[in-house]
Amino acid sequence: MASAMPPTQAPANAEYAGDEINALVLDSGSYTTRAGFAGEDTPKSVVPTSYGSLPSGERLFGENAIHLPRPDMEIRNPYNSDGIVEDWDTAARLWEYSITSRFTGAKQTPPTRNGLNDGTGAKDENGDVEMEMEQAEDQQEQPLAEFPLLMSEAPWNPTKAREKTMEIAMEEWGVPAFFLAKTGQLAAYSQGKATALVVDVGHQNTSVTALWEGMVLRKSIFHTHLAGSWLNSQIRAMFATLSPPVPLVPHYMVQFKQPVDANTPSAATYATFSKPPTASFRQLEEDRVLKSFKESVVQAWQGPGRLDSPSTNNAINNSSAGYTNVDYAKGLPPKPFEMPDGWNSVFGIERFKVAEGLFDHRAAYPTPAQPELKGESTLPSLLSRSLQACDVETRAPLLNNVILTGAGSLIEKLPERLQSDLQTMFPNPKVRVLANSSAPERKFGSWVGGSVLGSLGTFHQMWVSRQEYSEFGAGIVEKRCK
Amino acid sequence: MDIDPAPGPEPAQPQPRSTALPREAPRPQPKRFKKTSIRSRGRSARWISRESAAATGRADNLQFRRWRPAPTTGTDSTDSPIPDKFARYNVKPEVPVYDNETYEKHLIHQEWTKEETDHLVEIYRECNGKWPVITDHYSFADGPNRSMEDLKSRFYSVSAAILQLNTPITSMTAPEYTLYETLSNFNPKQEASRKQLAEGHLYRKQNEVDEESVLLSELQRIMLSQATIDTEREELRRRLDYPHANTNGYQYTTSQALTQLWQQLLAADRMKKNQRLRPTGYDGFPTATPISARPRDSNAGLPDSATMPGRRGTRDSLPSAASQNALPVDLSKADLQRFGVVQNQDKLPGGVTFASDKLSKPRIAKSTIQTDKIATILQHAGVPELIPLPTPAVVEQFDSIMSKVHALLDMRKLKDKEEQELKVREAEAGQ
Repeated sequence: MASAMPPTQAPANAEYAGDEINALVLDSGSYTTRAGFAGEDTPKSVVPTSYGSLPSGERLFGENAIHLPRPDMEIRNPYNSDGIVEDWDTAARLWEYSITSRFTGAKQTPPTRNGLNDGTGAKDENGDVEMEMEQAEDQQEQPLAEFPLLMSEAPWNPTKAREKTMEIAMEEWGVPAFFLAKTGQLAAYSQGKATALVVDVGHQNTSVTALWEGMVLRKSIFHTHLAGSWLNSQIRAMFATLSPPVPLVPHYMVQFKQPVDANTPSAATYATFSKPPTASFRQLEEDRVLKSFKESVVQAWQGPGRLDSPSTNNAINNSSAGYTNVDYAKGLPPKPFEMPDGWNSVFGIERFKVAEGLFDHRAAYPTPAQPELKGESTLPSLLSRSLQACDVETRAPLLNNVILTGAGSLIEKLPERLQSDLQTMFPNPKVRVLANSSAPERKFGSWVGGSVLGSLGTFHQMWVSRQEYSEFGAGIVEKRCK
Repeated sequence: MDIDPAPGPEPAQPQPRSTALPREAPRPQPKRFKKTSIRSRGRSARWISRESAAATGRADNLQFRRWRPAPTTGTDSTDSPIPDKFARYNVKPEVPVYDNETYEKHLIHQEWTKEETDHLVEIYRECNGKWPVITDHYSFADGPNRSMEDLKSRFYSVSAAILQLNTPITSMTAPEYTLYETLSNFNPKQEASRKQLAEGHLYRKQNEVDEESVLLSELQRIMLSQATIDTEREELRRRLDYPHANTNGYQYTTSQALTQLWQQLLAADRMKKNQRLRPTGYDGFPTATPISARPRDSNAGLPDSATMPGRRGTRDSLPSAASQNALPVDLSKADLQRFGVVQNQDKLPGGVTFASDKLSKPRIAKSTIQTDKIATILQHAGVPELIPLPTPAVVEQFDSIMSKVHALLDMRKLKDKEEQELKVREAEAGQ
């Protein structure tokens, strides 16, 4: 193996080990599906995983389709709440769509229709000329059959799901070569690390994966539902606790808005629908508003200590014994936020409290779905459980390389809080939390890692080819894609 | 465009130019892009996309399309497959290989079945020999729970046995033998206890960590300032008064040098009036033979610095000063006198001196009048002007006479003074 180089030294040409074979990288998650060519630094195709389903059975993919208010469109998701694909048919179509919508050109009109064969036979009711089926099939290109495909999977993906993925890729799409990698592993590769503890904060799940010298330690994989979607529910609960409760009106409902003072009811004209869109659509749109709320207002208490623990900061320590971090946070300037319909307010301590549940299970807002959080689902306890499952000698190097990735980790001051919590839990080793400062690199961390892996010359011996698949069957994925 | 010449110094031009147009400031010129170099103005390179073998380590014939520059000359018109540049990175770990009989003969273990051992070897190969990953991936349905130490010890013992079978110990090369030794000396219990220690160390409390970090910083501070402290001490010593050695002390480390040093010090001490050093038995005289009897050519014991030529101008020219109190030969008092041996000499003047000077020099005083006076006294006393032989007795006598002469002279001077004083007083009183 080539030895590790200091990061300040650019690799020599021979050591780059880059060998681009135009592989496709498909990184699908429960919120978005990222696709692109290996060797690039961002995915060119980012498609929401939620799809619109019409009563006719037609499925609408893509951002333009799902955010259009339609009277009868239900928003669904092929993933279940655990982050594993449930609806395979839809998932396959969705993945195809993510690639064909951007990377292939317009499909040629099939020869049955392109007007070149009009003289050979009579047209049937669709305007198609009768042709031999074989010819038609040959002409119909399989868009994914040209390039090797690298897909990512959740680290706790069950074996059946992996085999099914491989079957879809090999048989439905006809890829020449295929590989399945875990998202934690890919996120570490995107940061250039082979030994790391990867914390991936996604939409439905937050997972922890330990990677040792390039290989995943399976027993260290843990996941919890405390992620972006849970944070949305926390914000809704927080809105409900404020008095008066915060009105959450999505964009499509607002026709015209006027500026109003803070905390006064909005003075907007709302859109009227003859048949209002479905509840799932409204949920989706409200989540969009909450997403911008998370991006602009929500902040994690950066430590040291929990939000309601006594303040240890000497500069602000007053003589009164009951001075907590809460009081300090209350002294910080609050941030304003304006809803789509014009209602606006400032949020002070609440913006810290919504994110506090990630670290302190007692500080979470109780929601109707889940009145209480379990202590072991918080981020620090997840990490400590994961470390306990690793060998003692590996724990210190892993703690020195904690990689924070995922779109949910973009909450302000989350890396600092994680660092201080981990250092308090493990005072002896040097804890280092690596969180890339560039937002696209964190959002698409596992895709970028897949791009790195797919363009690596030394990886090309690991692809599973069609020939091997036809010899061994789908069980080969368990053997080869570790 | 008219570009004015640079407004350089023109001291020779006086003011008559005021009627001319005022000088224009240099105009900002539009940016022009540099013409591309000749090289890139030629035809751009052609690239072609070709299928080629993916990797040489594969069982199948998987081909990938790659873009590569089209061959410029016609030599490689057919697409020869690109040599796999990355084949050298396909490193596989070395695994012990054995068959059934070898297993039956050498590798049987009570707690390990053959299938489990095979499984372990297989997992080792797949995980590239990284033990944390191996422990993680290892899962044998029928076997008990194995810790990393168990797996390691079984694997190492199998490896050692196979290594030994392949090359008997006697014909192993040095690195092979060291490998064999390390494999055989693996102690799982020790490893397990070491890991427990490591775990305890990992989970130390904050105060212990703080204490250790404080101590370490203290140590670092001391080490860093060690150099400055040394220079400061040096400077302090220099400011204080202490005798500086201007010779190097290292030349006296051998015993020969030390004896030489001792003899030098001895000789230096003998020059002084009050001798402080006492002659010991180690003055370089290993034997007790009298010096006269010893052959002269061997200088082994004779210290060169001890022989003072001309100290005794007379018959007793024996180098008696070598020994001060301890004579090599015991002489009786009569013998001492007869031979003229004098002990406990006072400090002698260096260089060449005559004993007869002791008889002539005291007679000479600073002024001639005094000299004459001394001469008349001595004449009166009956001391001859020229004394032929300055023996010790004679010198002694003469010394006593001279002291009396000096006393006499002093008395006379005093008497003259008193008489004069008396006369003056009488003269004063008489008036």
